[in-house]
Amino acid sequence: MTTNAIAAPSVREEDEAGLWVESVSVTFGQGSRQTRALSETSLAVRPGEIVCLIGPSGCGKSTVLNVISGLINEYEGQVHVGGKPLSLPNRRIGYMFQQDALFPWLTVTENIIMPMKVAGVPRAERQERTKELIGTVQLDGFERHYPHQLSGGMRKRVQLARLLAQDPAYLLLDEPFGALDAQTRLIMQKEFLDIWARRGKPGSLFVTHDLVEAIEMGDRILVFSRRPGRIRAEYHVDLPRSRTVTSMMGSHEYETLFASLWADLEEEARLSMAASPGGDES
Amino acid sequence: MSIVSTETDNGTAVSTERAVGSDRTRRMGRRVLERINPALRLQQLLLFGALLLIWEAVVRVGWLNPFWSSQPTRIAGRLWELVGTGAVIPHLWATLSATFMGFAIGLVSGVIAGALLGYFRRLADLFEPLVMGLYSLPRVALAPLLILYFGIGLSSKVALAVTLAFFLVLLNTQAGVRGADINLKNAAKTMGASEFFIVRRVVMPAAIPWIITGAQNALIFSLTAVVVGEMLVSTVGLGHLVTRASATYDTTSVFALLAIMGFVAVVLNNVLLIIERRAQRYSPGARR
Repeated sequence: MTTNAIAAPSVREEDEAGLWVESVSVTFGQGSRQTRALSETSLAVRPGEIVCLIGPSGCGKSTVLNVISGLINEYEGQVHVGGKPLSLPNRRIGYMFQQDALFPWLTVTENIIMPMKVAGVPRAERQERTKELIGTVQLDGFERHYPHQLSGGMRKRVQLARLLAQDPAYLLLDEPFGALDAQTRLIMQKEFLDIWARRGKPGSLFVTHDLVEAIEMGDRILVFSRRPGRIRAEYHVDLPRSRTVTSMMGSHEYETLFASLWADLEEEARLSMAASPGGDES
Repeated sequence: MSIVSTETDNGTAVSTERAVGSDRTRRMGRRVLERINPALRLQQLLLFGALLLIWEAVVRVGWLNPFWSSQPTRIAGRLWELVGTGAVIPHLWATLSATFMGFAIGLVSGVIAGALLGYFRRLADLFEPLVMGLYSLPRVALAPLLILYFGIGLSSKVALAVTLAFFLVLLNTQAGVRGADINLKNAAKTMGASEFFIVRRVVMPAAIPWIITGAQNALIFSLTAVVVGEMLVSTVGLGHLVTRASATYDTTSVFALLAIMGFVAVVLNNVLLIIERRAQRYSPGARR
């Protein structure tokens, strides 16, 4: 196992495939009220891997996702997808938010159909794919329920199905299970990994503040510094896949990795708290 | 071992989630039943009946002069004459048709204007003093002017109703459009949706509860505007009948007409409540 920390990953290697973020900086506000959210951040997500982003609150982790997804348009630096500069809107990049972003006036089925409507998928194919996706996330029998009639875990499943309905080549996940209770979160993490593997392992950027989740999910883990965010360290997770909380427990690699991650994160979190009391997530 | 236990956890979690779903549905059913509580409805009727009895008794004992106050038995008789003979029908029709026309025009134009002002922030800033100024104006004061422009017939009443309905719908629509959840808009955006798609499929549906609230007020205010217009100058309509009756000191007819108007208002309100409940079936009691 190699837990070699690198200052910043060298971007633009030989392979053009993947999602490349190169020296991206983001500044919010104007004049004296300017806040620098991201500073010269570079990272890459290759097809088939999950890259986890961890860091203190308000360090700009979500900002990276918002730049890639096009929700933030004003930034310096470059984003490349599959060797080409990012063009928007980009249906090949799916985004799953922490908050419930299901349309409350639409049923489970109608919510899942939405991205296919946007993409102009023919009706018959829409129906067929929706049915399949509902099966994938185990929501059979709930097709005509409205989001408010579902539990938190089920709503996450609908969101996951809707994300997959977009047929994305890359996934952006912003603390997708952060708002769930502890047990449901563990279940959803496992289900996500199963579905992700079955769906051809789209390259994923997974923001979390949960170290265990990062180790369970990630092929690589990038530790963000406090604001303005930069990447402070990169870790490769060499634990065998199909990691579960219980299978990782007691493993030497897991414990070493956890300790190094926490050492990095704790320092940044303390510095961040000292710099801005009551740090806000951006 | 660990994998087995996770799998079992998974299974139980799914079944508890199902239980939560069906429990919610059951609770919703009970809430609908509670709304038509027969015991409460009976008490309400008894209270109303008691008030009528006191009214009748006070007149019969001689504490009130029926010339001014009339009395329930006489009013009931007059109601029978007005409704039973069909004498009131053309007047009721005149009032209702003007109300619906004013409401419909106000609703459509109010939704369009409100959507534009809600969506384009700068446009809203530009129009804000004008809209608020006109909204604050006691619009029944416009009636003489409108009668001058549109004549004493139906159209002046419709116009007066529009001036009330339009602003109520506009302000509610604007608030709803502006308040549409940014997360939902972002979700559609990250699906690759165009701005037009987002407005049509996300922003407007999100504003519907607000639009319905605006419409409920607009319909009742349209009725009020039409009656006021009819009272000022008209040859037909419930408002016209009230003015005529009071001019001849016919208080019994005035009370009978008030009863008819009250009944119409209650029916209209209930129709809108049913529409509201249907439109919001996806989230009971989200906005009342």
